[in-house]
This record gives sequence, C-alpha cells and structure tokens, in this order.
Amino acid sequence: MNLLGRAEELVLLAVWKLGDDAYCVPIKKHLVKTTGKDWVFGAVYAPLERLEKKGLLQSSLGDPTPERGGKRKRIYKLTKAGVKALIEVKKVEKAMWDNISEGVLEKLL
Amino acid sequence: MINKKTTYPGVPVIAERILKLFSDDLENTKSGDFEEEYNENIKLYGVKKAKLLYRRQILKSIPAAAGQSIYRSLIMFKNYLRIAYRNFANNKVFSSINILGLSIGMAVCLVIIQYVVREMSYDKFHENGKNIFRLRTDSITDGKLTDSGADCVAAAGKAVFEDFPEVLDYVKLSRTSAGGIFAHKERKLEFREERVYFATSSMFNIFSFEMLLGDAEKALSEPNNILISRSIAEKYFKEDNDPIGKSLSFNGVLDYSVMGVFEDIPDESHMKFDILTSFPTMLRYGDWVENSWAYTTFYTYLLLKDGTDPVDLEIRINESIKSQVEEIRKEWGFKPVLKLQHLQDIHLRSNHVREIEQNGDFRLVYFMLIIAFFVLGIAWINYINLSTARSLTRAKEVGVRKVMGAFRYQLIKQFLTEFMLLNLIAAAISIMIMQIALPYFNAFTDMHISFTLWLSASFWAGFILLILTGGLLSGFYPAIFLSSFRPISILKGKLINSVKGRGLRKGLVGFQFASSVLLIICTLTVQQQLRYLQKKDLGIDVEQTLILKGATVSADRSRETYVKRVETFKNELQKNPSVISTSISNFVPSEDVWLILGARKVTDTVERQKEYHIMRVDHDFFDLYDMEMISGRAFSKDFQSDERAVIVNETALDHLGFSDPESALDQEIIMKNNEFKIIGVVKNYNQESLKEAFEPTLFYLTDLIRGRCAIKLNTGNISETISYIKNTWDNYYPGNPFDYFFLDENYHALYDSERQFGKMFGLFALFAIIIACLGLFGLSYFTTIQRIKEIGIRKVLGASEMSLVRLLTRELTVIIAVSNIIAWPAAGFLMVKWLQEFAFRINLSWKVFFTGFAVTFIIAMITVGYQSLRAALSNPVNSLRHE
Repeated sequence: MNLLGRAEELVLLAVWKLGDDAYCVPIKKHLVKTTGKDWVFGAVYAPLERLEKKGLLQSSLGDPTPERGGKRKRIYKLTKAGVKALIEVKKVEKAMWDNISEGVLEKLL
Repeated sequence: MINKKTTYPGVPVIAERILKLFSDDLENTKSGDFEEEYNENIKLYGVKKAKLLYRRQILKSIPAAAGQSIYRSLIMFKNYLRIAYRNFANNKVFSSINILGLSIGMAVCLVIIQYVVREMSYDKFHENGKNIFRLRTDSITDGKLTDSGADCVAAAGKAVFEDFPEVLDYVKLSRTSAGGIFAHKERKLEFREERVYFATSSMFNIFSFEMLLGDAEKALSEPNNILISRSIAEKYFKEDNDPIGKSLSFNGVLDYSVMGVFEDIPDESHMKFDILTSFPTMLRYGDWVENSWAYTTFYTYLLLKDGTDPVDLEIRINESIKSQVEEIRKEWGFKPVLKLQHLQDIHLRSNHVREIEQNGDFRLVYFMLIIAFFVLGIAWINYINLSTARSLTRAKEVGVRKVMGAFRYQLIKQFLTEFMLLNLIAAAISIMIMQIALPYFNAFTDMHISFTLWLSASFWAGFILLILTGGLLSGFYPAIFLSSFRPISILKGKLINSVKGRGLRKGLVGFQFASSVLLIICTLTVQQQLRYLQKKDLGIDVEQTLILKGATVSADRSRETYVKRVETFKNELQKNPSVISTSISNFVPSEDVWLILGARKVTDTVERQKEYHIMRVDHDFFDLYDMEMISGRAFSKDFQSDERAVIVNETALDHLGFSDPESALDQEIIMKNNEFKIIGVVKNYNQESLKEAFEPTLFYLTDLIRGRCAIKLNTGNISETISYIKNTWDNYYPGNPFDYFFLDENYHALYDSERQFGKMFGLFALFAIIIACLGLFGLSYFTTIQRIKEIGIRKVLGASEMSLVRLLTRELTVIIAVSNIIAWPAAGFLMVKWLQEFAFRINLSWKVFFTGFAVTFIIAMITVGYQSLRAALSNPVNSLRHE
C-alpha cells in the first residue's frame, strides 16, 4: 500500500475522530486547532477527494441547516480500507519513533 | 426550505461566483461549508470582518481547487489521447494521408516562411534604418522619363545636406573606377576586387556596419586610405593580425593605406562591399565628382531627422535646385529630378537602372506566400473531407459517449484534441523533413536557405499560432459535424444520411482542384517563358566565346605603347589555330551598359538631345559577334576617317529621328561636343537580358580600352587553348590576374533568379498536387467503402462494371470541370502580370490551360477510377451476405 500524504493522514484521522459529524467545517476547525496552522477549505477538499477516490473514505449528503444558507453537508466516514490505512499509519509512526526516548530531541536545541 | 436572506446577511456575490467557477460543487455542499463558517464569523467578529474572511478563504482555496480541476481535465485529456491513438492506429489510410499531407504542406510552408523572412529582413539591421533614405535621380528629357537611376548626381548629396536642417547626415558612394587589381607587393598576392566603392566619411555613422579596427570617419576623409573587410584582411594579410597602416597597391599605380577593418557585410544588405576607398581619393578624376549636377553614378543616402515627411522633403529639395536644373537642361538637354526612396524599400520594391545589385521582388514574395497558403490549405482540407466522409465509423462512438453523459462541447473538445495531435505530429515530422531535404532543395534551386529560424522565439510563436488557428479553423467543422449525431438514431442502427456534408466536401475538393490547376498553369507558363528566354535568337552569336577581363595594371605609360601592346597581344592569340578572332570593347553583350551619353543630329537643337548607351569597340567587334548590318558598313581599317565614325542600332536610329536606315548614312551627329558621321546601322540585338527592351546604342571606335577582350574559339581542345591564352596573357600583362568567363554562360546567368523562381514554383506546385491527390484518394476510398452495398445491389440487379465506374466518377467530372473554369481566369490574370516584367515574352497559350485540365482530370480519374473499378469488380456476395 502507498503511504498516505501528510495532509491526507491528518484529514483521515480527523474524520475518524469527529465520527458522525465529519464534514468540512468541523474537520477544518479540528485541523486548525491541532496543527496551529491556518487551513483553507481548498486545502481540505483536495485530500478529502483524493482519499475518497482511493476508497479510504466514503461520503454521503447530510441535512441542510439554516446557517449553511439551506445547503447540504457532505459527511465523510471511514471505510474499512480507511481504518486499515490508519492502523498502518500508526504502525509506521510507532516504528519510526521507537527507541527515541522522551525529551531527546529537545536536548539538541 | 429555509429562506436564508431573512435570517442571515447574504454572502459576497463575486466571491461566490469565483467559488462556483473553480469547483465542481454540484450539490452545493462546498459553498454550504463556506457559508456556514461565514455565518459563524458574523457572530464572532461582525459582518464586515466576516465578509473579509470569507473572501480570503475563497481566494486562498483557488490554487488547491484549480489544481484539482486541471487534474480532472487531464484525466479526460488522457482518454482523448488514447482514443485518438487508437483511431490513428485503426485507420492507417486516414491517418497516414493526413499526416503525410500535413507534414509535406508544413515543410513547404516552413521553407517559404524562411525565404520570405529573409527577403523581408533586408537592411533591417541598421539602427537608423527607418530614417535612412536613398536620394536618386530621374532624368527627364522633352517631358519624358528617359532614365531612372538608383544613383544620384554628384553634387546633390552635399547640397541637400547643407540646405536642409532635417537632413542630419549624408553619404555618397561610387564604384566608378573603384575596383581593380589590389596587390600586396611583398607577398606577391594580387586579386581583382570588384566590390569596391569610394565612400565619404559618414558611411559608418549612418549605416550600422560594424568596424573592427580603426577610425572610419577619419580614414575616409583623407585621400588614398582604404577600409577593408575581415575576409579581405585575411586574404591579403593572413596571420598578420594588425593590417592597420600597411599598404596595398591599386592597379600598380597607387598605394593605398589600410586604415581600418570592418566586419563582412551581412547577406541581408542591398549593398555589399569588400573595400571602401576614401572619397577624396576620387578627386584625382576631377572636381566633377564633387559638384557636377549632370553626372550620376553616385549612390547617395541621407539620414533624416525623426519624423521628417519624405514626400514633403522631396518636393522642397526639387524646389531648391531649380537653378542648377535649368543650367543642366540648357547644357545637356535633360532635367535631373531628385527622388527619395526609403532604405528598407530598396530590396523588394526598387527596380531602377544601375541598382547596386539585383534586387528581390515583393511580387515573388507574395507569389510564394500564396503557394504556401495553397499547399497548407489543401492539406487541411484533406482532413475536413476525410473526417466528415468517414463519419459513419465515428458515429457509434459519438452515440455511446452521448448516452454516457458527454456534453456536445466535450465531444467537440475531443475531436479538436485529436486534430491538434495530428497537427503536432505533422509539425514535428515537417521539421525533420525540412532538416533532411533542405540541402537537396538548395542544390536544386541554387538558393542558400538555411533553417535559422528555429533559433528565433517569434518564429515558434508564429508557427504555433499558425498551426493553432489553421487547425482550429479546419478542425472545427468536422468536430461540429461529428458531434451533431443523435444518439438514438445512431444506436438504433439507422443509416446516417451520408448526403449531409457532401455539398461542402464537393466545394472543398473543387477548391483543391482549382488551386492545383492554377499552380499547373503558372508552372508551365513560367517554364515556357524561361525556355523562350534561353532559346530566343539574340541577334548575335554568343557560342564558343571566351571573355577576358581586361588588364588594369599596365606598364605602358604612353598611348602608343599601350595600343601597340594590345595589337601584338591580339596577334599573338590569333597564332593559335583554335582562336578564330578577337575583339576588344568596353562592354561585351550580356553586360549592363552603364556608359550613357547625350547625342543629337547636327541639325537638332540641344533640347532635342537624348541619351544613348555607348559601346566603344574595335574593328573586329561586329564580325566576331556576327552582327547584321542593315545598311552601310562596319568599321574598317581601310578607312582612316573611321576615327570619327559612329554606328547606330535600329532603336538609336529611331531616337535620332531618321526615317529609314539608308537615309541616315553619312549624316552627322553631335556627341560630347564632337561631330561623328554615321557609317552604318546595325540590327537590334539583345545586349541585356530579355527583360529589357532594345536600348538606343551608339558604337564608336577606340583603341584605348581597358574593358573586355572577347576571344572566339573553334570547337578544338578548349582547355589547351585556354592555357595558351593564359601564357600569352602572363607574358604581355604581368601583374594582372587571369580572369575569364564564357559569354553564353553569362547570358544564362542573367536569368538565374527567374530560373530559381521557376524551380521553386514548380516544386511546390508538384507538392500541392501530390497532397491534393492523396486527399482525393482517401476521399474516394471512404466513399466507395460506404457505397459498397449499393454497388453490390446494383450489380446483382444487372448493372455492368462500366456503368458502375461511370456512376462513381460522374460527380468528380463535374467538380473538375467547374474548378477549371474558376481557375483559368485567375491563372491567366496572374501570368499576364508576371509576363509584363519581360520586354520579350511568350503569349499565353491555350495548350497550357488545356494541360491544366487534362492533368487534373487524368490524375483524378486514375485515383478515383482505381477505387471504383475495384468496387465494381468485387463480388457482390462479399458485400451483401452479412445482411
């Protein structure tokens, strides 16, 4: 399996964490909060659509709400492949950070 | 449905539009996201800030979104390419005809563009280019234009420069007696240099020729200085890096100091010179070279102030020289009129006498562009015809695509992509063809076209633009046509009406034929005229005649020894049995006679004086060239009085005002203030190229000639005879290079540019016809395939093979007939125009027109007839059993 891009990885994780409420606005909010960077919608749509194309996410149309000007939400959900991809990411992450004790990097500064 | 407007302020309109433009937001989920955030921000920061944030959000999202949409269209594009490839591979006839035709067409186009660009780029490299004008002189005698020279009277340049403040600078050049034998004495190097001019000091200030060494202005203002080109420097001084201050001897009488070296003159200059001699050197011929208003042969260029109106200036100049003109008219009988001519018009639009070199012709450039247009147009038409004719094969694809949800514009995009791809492949091939074929082309046409354009960005821009526009224009109709099919009727298997698009196809085939006919007629007429030029009886014998360029370095200091040496040299040559006769004259036939003098009958007043070409000849001249005397006799040694005798040609007889050849005999004329008696009238012969009419010419006797020595040989061993002549020459005229040419070759060379034109024209016409035939072949191939069932049924019902062939070719016969009728007047018009260039020309012959018809008809019948015959002969079972 191809490794996910960093943006894809973050978005995938965010979708999973948000559960039933995973559409673009909260995803973006979550990303802004966790990364501390300013994300624009365009930068969120691209990985979302790529992930859907790869079959790691699937989307469905949600209910319209008044604050959305009566427009519907596109709600994303992880597929089985998506969950597997996250496990894979976690494994790789863990392997990469293995044997590196807490605070070692900070000492280098 | 919730009415958002009552609850929330609307989102910024323009930003929302941009969002729609860039995203494929079918269910509006994305704009919903943006709007949700916007409404939240209103609560947090107020409307103003929220709008700002909304806009920023959208603008920042564009790169990512655009990336997505390009990516998406690339996927489709990839599919188009794949389908295009499959189509090309499946229909080899179709794709090879198109690619072959297009690439040949483009290669022809490239050659022509290269040629045209070169012709148009003459004299464009001068920084002051747009402000440089040539001042030239027309001579008006008796109210009629009698001479229209590229050169100017001697005094005009300086006078105009001094009188008019808007004339910033001027330069005067003359090649009269400037060329000759230049020798490096120590190295014993001697060469005849002919591209030599006297030049005044501003030469390099006005023109942007590049000086490599030395100060041109200073060098040209003092006598006996010369500037030489880089190649001349290499020729005489070889490894000697600094020729400055060295000397070269001129004709053995003068020593010139080399005061500067300039870069070789580029090909794209209407004047090319190897050596410039400072103008003060010329003063040794007399001060007329400075202040004569009668003597022309001085090429004069003016540098005008920015924004000067040349038309107005020309009028004022002529106004200012009135008194001088009047004096000239009284003394010489003609009025000089000064004319301004833009430097950059000289190469293509100037055709005066005494041009510095043979100029180009803008009409030829247009001719070539027309051919380029035809050739490429014919190739593009092939695509239109073939792709609409075989629309049946693409119909199912179009149907399926439409059913799957393709919009029409997407189909159009697909077909255009396909055609563009075809064009690109052809363009790539055409450049290869050009690279491979150019040397052969140059050898065949004797041109020097090199494909230098590929270095220039503007060429690529133009070439790509040409392919795009031409491609779009010719690809558009088939794309519209093919995408118009209705999926239901196609997929039901209903036969598509193949009549659709046939009218247009017929028209386009007609256009192809008409252009082919036009090109055939033009080619044949040009060839006929060329053959006529070479075959026409010139009125003189030019075969087996060797011409020696005269000796200019001479040890003889007195007239007697000079004449004596000429006499003994001629006698020495006559001793060889291969030499029939020899003659010395200032010009030989085939040369431009630039010596022109005024003359008139003794009984006429000076106002009736006209200008005549002057040939100075010896006693053997008329005999050697086998010229026919109409009345009187040629010069003879038996008559001492012939020193003051003149022989006139028929035209001169007419100009002098004699009614018949007999009555002119023993009459006197005045020339150079001396009286000459007419002793004979010679029949007109073609001294110059057949483009020129017969000029009025006077022949008089001289023994002091440094011009040409003609030697008539019999058909013995030519090379042996030449080496005999060379030995004799070296004995009599040491220090003079042995330069010779053959007279018939020189006549031949007069038509080099016409021959070049004829060859180019013929070659390109051939390509045009080949491409048209390719297209016709393809068209008949596809239409016959489509009618194969019809043919089968007809055959089963008893139609004969011949009647089937007739059926299939009938339509084409009509098209050919109509296109001939259209092409004939156009070709006739063009060719009459072209032939007007020649004083001696053929009449347009009906045979040529008929040949145009016959060739197209036969080729078309062979191409189509072959297909039809094959279809007619095929077994109907094969075509019908599947139903």
